[in-house]
Amino acid sequence: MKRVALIGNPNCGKTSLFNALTGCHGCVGNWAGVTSVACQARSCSEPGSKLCYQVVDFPGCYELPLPYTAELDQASSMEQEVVQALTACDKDAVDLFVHVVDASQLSRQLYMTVQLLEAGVPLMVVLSRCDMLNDKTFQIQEERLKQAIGCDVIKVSTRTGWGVRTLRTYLDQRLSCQEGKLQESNAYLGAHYPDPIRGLMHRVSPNNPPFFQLEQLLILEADACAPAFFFEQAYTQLMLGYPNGLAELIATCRRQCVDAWVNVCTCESKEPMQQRSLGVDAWLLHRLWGFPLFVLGLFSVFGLSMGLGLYAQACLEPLWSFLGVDCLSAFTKTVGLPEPLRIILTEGVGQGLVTAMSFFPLMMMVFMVLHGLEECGYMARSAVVLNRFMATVGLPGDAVVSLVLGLGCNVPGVAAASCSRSENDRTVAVLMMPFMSCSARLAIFVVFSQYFFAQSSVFALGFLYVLGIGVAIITGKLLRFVGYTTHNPTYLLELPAYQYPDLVRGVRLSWHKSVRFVWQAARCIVPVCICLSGLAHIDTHGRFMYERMSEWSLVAVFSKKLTVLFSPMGLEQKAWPLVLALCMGLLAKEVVLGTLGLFYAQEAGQVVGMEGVGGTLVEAASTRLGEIVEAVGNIAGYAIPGGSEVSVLPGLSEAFVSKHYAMAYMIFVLLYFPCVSTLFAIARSIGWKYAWLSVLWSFVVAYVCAVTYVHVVVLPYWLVLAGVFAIVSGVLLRRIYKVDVFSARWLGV
Amino acid sequence: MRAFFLVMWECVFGPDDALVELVGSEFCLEGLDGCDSATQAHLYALGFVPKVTIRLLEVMQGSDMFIVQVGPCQIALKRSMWGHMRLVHLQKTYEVTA
Repeated sequence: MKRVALIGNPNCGKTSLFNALTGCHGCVGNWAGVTSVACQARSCSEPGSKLCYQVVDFPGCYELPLPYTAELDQASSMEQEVVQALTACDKDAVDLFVHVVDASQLSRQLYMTVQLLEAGVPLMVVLSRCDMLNDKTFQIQEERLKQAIGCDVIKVSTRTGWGVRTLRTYLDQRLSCQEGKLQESNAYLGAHYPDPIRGLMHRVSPNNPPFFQLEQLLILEADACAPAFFFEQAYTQLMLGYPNGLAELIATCRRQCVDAWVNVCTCESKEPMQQRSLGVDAWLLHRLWGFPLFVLGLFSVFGLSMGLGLYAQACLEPLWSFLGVDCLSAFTKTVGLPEPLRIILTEGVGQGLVTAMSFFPLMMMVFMVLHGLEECGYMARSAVVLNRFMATVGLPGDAVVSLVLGLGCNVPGVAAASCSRSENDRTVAVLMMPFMSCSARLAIFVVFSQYFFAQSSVFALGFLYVLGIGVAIITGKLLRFVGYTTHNPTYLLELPAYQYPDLVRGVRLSWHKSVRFVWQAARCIVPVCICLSGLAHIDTHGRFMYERMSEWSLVAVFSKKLTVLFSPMGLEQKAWPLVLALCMGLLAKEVVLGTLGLFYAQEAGQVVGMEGVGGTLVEAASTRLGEIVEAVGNIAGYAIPGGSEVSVLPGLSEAFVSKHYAMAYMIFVLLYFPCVSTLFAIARSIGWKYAWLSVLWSFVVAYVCAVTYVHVVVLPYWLVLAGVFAIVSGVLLRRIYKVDVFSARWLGV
Repeated sequence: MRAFFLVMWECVFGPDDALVELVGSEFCLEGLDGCDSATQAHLYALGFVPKVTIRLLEVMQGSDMFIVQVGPCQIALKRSMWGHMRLVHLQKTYEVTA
């Protein structure tokens, strides 16, 4: 099957085009670095058509890195993938490179087109985001650009779908050509280098395309024993105007070439600067109130999404109970399954499904908010605003992007952190990742904080997030202290223009992400719930017990032994399901709520269904409908997060002696190792040694923090406040005396 | 009170410096000094080629990050990168107001 590679600068619209061509739902966002690994999918001109091709979406890179050199080892994994595609042999060869160029950044992004033309690969150019060029002063004549570049140019807008059909038709025609014709390189119409350089290019490697000839020249020039032709008069005279050497000359020639192309194909020689973005940035990136605005915005946006998510969750929960528990109970009764099997299936599958489905509205709201932040262009700005704070652990500001991804799920966060150029930065960022509270943990915190901290659940959630970030920073600082340091003076970050988020696309992508999340959660939760349900009804002699939560069941006996370890955290023997949930949480954090749901959904109807406790299915439906109507009417209770008293796990209150023990439990859940998937992701990224180190460190930190919290919180208030005051004062005084507080400027003299 | 606020602020974010006064100014890039070849190539690709005009848009807290405009795009760069650029101060084009 033929292969089409989408390459280009970061944030130029490659993944949006990939989604449009293949029908996939890859993550998109208005910031550089959303795509961290190459992904591929099949695209057919029409459903069932024989003409199908593989589309590969490569991560973005600003320039073609130098192949065959030592610098390739230092290049990020994204750049290495692109080089591999450029130099691939037969089986992985790419048949057509589609260079995606952001039409509003034409003069900068065409620089890579010059390099690709010089590399002699089969190429076409797609001008994306043409919908952003509604300004009449800047229009691109694609025919003129096509003639100037010497390869085909097509304008598209993936946001509106304009031009995508034309591109499909073009790809169909071009890829249906004969093999030999397809491999033909484009006519070279790239940069014009001075004669002495052209002469040298032919002398170093006459048979290679210009890009590789130039790279060869650069390598030779950097060599201590440079060949004699670098000292010839024509060359030395030419280089007098370029004090930084050959690289500067090459860049200047390429830039001149791009400027000539842009002049030919546009009415105005200058691209319009986004004045709106400048105006907004004057506020959001202000050196004084940029950071307070960031904190305020983050809190209000997440507070709103949590409030709406909880409201939707409460409204839909009776529906999931009806579908997952009542209907299943009625079905198993109708089929005539034996009673033990019926109980295990109804409890395991029913409660597992209800738990997994209850995440759906909450996740939908959180994903929509995150998508809005990503698409409007603020995500890249947050990296700039937080750069100072990231510097405290020695990481560049854009590491915050991978950490924010980790807030959704640690696995993509680890993948994004793996793209760092520096090995030490990579190690530090990846080892910090397990402490970022992922969405699965968020679901646990929401249920617990809603139940135990009803009036102040937002603050409880905020405290947990801050604690997770704080522990991540301490971990980073410790790693820096033991030698994982990097001095990275070359940190550059492109700030995209602001744009309005596309609501329809946001809803669609959030829907797909939420469905994927619930499906993955259900795949973990349901089998574990079935197994646990079975073990919870079987005693140590192998007999089936009809009683739930029996003290003599297999899981109870096993968990009670482990509970001793957690007694310093305030967990008593009767709270053995909580310990069991922690053990199961190692598989995936979604399983924690599933396990708790199995043991703490106390009302009989919530576990075995209304139908199972004597009612008919019709009665069950009317009862659930009544619950939905009641929840919908109770909108005021959810307008402020935590205002509700409804909980999916009503039996939890008996498990903890006080709410402080519940908080200690949440702290442990927050800090102990996320899941097996993250372990494998870390091992793949930085090796098994670090993966096991991460497991060990997270358990130690989780245990110490939870136990410390339990013991500190029972101390008198004044003692805790005095301690906090002493620590804060100490830190501030140290910083004050480190900088010169008595300078004339500060004293206003 | 103002002195106290400034002390507290700069304790957290570090001191500002005189470059804040240059916000809104335009510079002509003469060349790049002291960069390794990979960084140089990266900067050239981003548009930091000789003779290009750079506008300083903002200096972030503690002068840690600078935001500049090169051509039509905004780029945030570290203070240390600024030191690698040979610049000629052209003029102050406008006041950034919030």
